[in-house]
Formats: sequence, structure tokens, C-alpha cells
Amino acid sequence: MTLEQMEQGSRVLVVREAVKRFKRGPQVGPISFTVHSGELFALIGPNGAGKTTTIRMVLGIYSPDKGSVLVCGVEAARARGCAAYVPEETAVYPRLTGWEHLVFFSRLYARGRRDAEKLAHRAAEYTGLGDDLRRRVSTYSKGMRRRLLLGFALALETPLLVLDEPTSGLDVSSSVAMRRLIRSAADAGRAVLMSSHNMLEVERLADRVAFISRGRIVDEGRPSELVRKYSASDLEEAFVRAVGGDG
Amino acid sequence: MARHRLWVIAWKDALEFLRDRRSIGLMLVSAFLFPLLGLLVTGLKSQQQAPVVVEVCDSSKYAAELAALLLEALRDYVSFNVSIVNLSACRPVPGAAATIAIPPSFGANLSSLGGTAVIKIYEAIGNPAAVDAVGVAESVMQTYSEKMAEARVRILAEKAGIDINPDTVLHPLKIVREGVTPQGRPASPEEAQRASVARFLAFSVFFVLNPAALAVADAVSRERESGTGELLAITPLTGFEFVSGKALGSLTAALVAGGVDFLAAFAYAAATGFHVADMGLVALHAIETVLAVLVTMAVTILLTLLVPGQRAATLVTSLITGTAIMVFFAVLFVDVAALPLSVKTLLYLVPYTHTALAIEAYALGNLETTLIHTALLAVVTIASLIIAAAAYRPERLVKRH
Repeated sequence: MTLEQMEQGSRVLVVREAVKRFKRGPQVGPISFTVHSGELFALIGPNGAGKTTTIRMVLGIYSPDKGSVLVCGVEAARARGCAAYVPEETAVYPRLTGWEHLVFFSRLYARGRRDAEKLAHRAAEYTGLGDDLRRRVSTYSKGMRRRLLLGFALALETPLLVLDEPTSGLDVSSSVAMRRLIRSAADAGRAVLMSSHNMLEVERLADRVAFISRGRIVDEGRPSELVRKYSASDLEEAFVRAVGGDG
Repeated sequence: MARHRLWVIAWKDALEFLRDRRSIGLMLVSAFLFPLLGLLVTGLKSQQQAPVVVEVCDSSKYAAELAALLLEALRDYVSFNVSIVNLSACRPVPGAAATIAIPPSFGANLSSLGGTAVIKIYEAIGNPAAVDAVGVAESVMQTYSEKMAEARVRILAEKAGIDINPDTVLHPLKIVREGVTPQGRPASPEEAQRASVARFLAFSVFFVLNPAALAVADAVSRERESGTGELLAITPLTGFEFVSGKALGSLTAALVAGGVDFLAAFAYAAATGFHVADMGLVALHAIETVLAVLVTMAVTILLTLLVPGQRAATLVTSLITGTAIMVFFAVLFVDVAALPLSVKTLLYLVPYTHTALAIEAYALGNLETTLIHTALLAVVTIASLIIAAAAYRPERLVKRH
């Protein structure tokens, strides 16, 4: 196997000149980036920059109007089961218990009842919620809800893990726990794509980052490289300089 | 295609509905509103002791006779506290719901052939008990007036030396009413009662339909709004599985609505003394309620999938429930069959018209028409679901940012 083939083999997500247009609202793209297995790649930018649209193209929810989004080597819309996702909103069913929540999504993904049960048990372990899983989700804190979602996403053991603002609205200890889980997922060999507007968090966590503004990637690289490149004291300052005050 | 996902969605939606105490509570309250209101009004009326005064300001035997008749009739109603007072001059009694004054010279006027005796009723304004008391008093006085008129006719006939039946003089025109079925056959009293009750039953579908419709109408928009739609959008779910699962999940709400409706209609029938020989009408009513909930679910799923945006989805839901109440009201007061074709066609396009017409047709013994309207409801439901499944796109489950 050549180095190039190895490089291609480790590419879990390839976004190439992808463009998404809307009837109302600005277009997103053309946008290009690649995420390799074992890598934590962060999209950072202000609200409305195009992070969520990019993530939705990666998840196959939106089809790009131009360009391509390949997940595990296939078009994102056909790559169901290759990406797991934790949305920004604590998207849960409040009237279900935590366990029922996990069983519900496990049954949607698994082929049979037995597989679903295994998946739900694995997810339950990842959540670390223990006996709290018996309680209705409506009684959970935001941090517990996020753990429920992340636990399931980790249990799916997909090559790609996508996280939209994973620590937004969480208290300090929940944020620390969440970051640890995210980092360990990347260290375990999964490709992680996350969006955030918490620059300090990204600076500490991400292997590579892309600055996104007005639907386009303005710059991309390792956090330390970007800080150096823009002669900034931290990533936040680098971002402001990169987008020229647009962000 | 993995059909099990369909059941997973249905299971989740059913569980969510069964744990939604507010919707179920609202459904129960709405369904039993009619019978409960009836019981409440009857109960309160039985406790009410509205003062009614009969003032006798005339010493004739006629005045005494009429006062006694009024006393007897009003005392039949537990809700009135009736008293007779003898006075020289009549005037309204403060605090009385109604004062029935028999003025001086009442007897003289009544007993003379050309005289008109006047009774004055002072009715407390804005008092529902006064309206009831006056109704009873008027009925008594009408009968008494007819009796006096007959006596006058007899006297006049005697004076004229002719033999005549006073009833034919007083009622030269008699009206004979008879109910007939749409086929022109004389209707039995049971059939007539059944038909009139059916109109109210058709209208009452709305009461249970409204909360049930609200519970199922946001089946898709709820997922979109809470963000769970985004999670569903990336699962291997197909449009068929999603829409069928949602439909099956809503079936729980529809069956609960149907069950509640059955009990409420049964309670209504029992409370009004209406006996349905085969309970068929009550059962059909429940079935039509189930179908009305399902058609609401199917149409709103379709429209929510086609119309992006939460506000639009909410508007669609409001429009559907608004249309439902308009149709149920209209069908209660209008003979749909007699409407111009253009208006009738428009009404027929609204599924709820068929709900109401199916119930009415069944009550009139027209099974064929009942089946046609019921089948139309089922067809609209299935067709909407098929189109919704075809219109399904993962991106339609997510909220626009």
C-alpha cells in the first residue's frame, strides 16, 4: 500500500467544493475539508456562518447543490450508519425514560431485536447515567440529556462522529466530562467533526480547525499553526484576524 | 425494507401519547362536557328555590281558580318557591323572579262576553328562573284562556240557538304533523328521536375530536421543533416506515378518543333517556370519531411534510381544527343535500362533512350512504398517507436555522 492509498484509506469525511443554496437565506459554500480517522476536526465560526448547514450536508440531510460530500467513501445521503450525530439542541423525548430513549434509537439502527438490545446496553454504559436511565428524560438536566445523546452516538461505533456545539449550555463539570469523552472517541480512532463557537475549548481539544464565516472556510490548520500564522495570542484572536472583523 | 422500524416509531408515539396526561384529560373533559353540563344544570336547578309570587287583587271565583291552577303547576317544579298573596292593589314584589298579578276586575272582564281580562307578569330581567316561571305560567293561562273561550262560544251558540262544537270555532285550522323517513315512509317516534339525537351526536364529535386532533396533528412538527427530527433524519428510516409508524402511533390516540367518545355518547344517551335499541348509533359514532382523528393525522402529516417551517405547520393545524368546527356546526343547522352543487362539492372536500353525514345517514337507516361516507374518510386518510410517504425527505424533518 502506498502512502497516498494509506492517506485515502484514513479519510473518513471528504467535503469537496460543496455548495448548498436556499430559496431564502444566503448560500453555504463552496466549502472543502477532509477529516481523517483518529482526528478531531472543528468548524468554528459565529451563528449563521454555515456550520449547521455544513453538518447537515455531512449527515446526508441536505444534498449539496454542487460539489460532493463523501462519508466512508460514499455519498453522504447513502452513508447511513457511517456517521453518528449529537445535535446542539438537547433533542430528546421528554416523556420517555432514558432507557426507552436508548432502546428506541437502537431499534431504529439495529437489524434485529437482539442487536438492538446489545446496542442499547452499550449506549447505557457510555452514558454513565446508571439508575437515572429509569427516570423520564423530562427530569434530566441539560448535561444528562447531552450525555444520553452522546452515549448513544458513541455506542453506534461509527467511523465518523459529528457534534454540533457539544458543550453549549453545559455547566463546567459537565463540559469537562463531555470534552473527555469526545477526545477519547478521537483517540480510539474515530473521525470527529465538531462545530463550536467556543474558541478556547476548540484550541485545547481539536487537532485541526477550520474558520468558517459567511458560508465559506476562511482558513484551516492546526490551532497552534493558525495562532502563529495570524500572530495572535490565542485562537479567538486568530479567528477575528482571519475573518477581518466579519465574524 | 425493515418493517420493524415502523413499529418502533408507532411504539414510541403511542407511549408518548399515553403519558400525555394533559391531552387525555382534555379529551375526557371535552367528551363528557355535554352530559356533564346537562347533569350540572339539572342538579343546580333542583337546588334552586326561585321565589314566584301570585298576587290576587280580585275577589272573583275566576281569580281564585286561576291562582290555584298556577300554584299547582308551578309547585310541580322543585325549583320554584311559590306563594299566593291577596292584595287590594297589585305591584311587583322585590326579589321575586316573577310576580304574576291578577288585577282587580279580572273576574268581571273574563265573565263578560266582550271583555278582555288582563294578567300582568313582572319578570326579573336577566334571571333564567324568571324565564322558566313565566313559561309555566303562560302555559297555564293559555289553557285557562281556551277554557274560557269555549265557555263563551257555548253561551253565544245558545243565544243564537245553534248547536256547535266550540273546538271547531276556536280552531278552524288544525295542523297535523307527521315525521317521515327520506324514503317517504312514516317514521316511528323512536326513529324521529334517533334522527334528532344523531344531529347532536354528529356535532358532538367535535368535542372529543378537537383535543385528539391537536395531540396527533403535530406528530411531525413536534419532531421538527424539538430537534429529534434531525436524529430521525439520519437513521435508516424510509418515508414509508416513518409515515406508517406515525399513523400507527396516532391510532392509539384515535382509539382512546373513540373509547372516550363511546362512553360519553352512552352517558349522553342515558342522561337524556334516549335508548338505542342496538347501540349501533353510539358504536358508529365512536368509529367515526376514530376515523376523524386518523384523517386529521393523515392530512396534517402530509401538509406538515409539504410546508416547511413551524409557524406554517401550526397554521395548518389551526386551519384544520377550525374547519372541523365550522363543518360540524354547519351540518347541525343545514340540510347539506339541499345545498347548491357547488357549495355541496366544497363541503364534500372537507373530510369532516363525511363524518357528520355518515352518522346522520345511519340514524336515518341509510346504511349504504353511511358506508359511502365512511369509505370516503378511509380513502382520504390512506391517500394522504401514501402521498406523505412519497413526499418524505430527511430534510423535511429538520428545523430551518
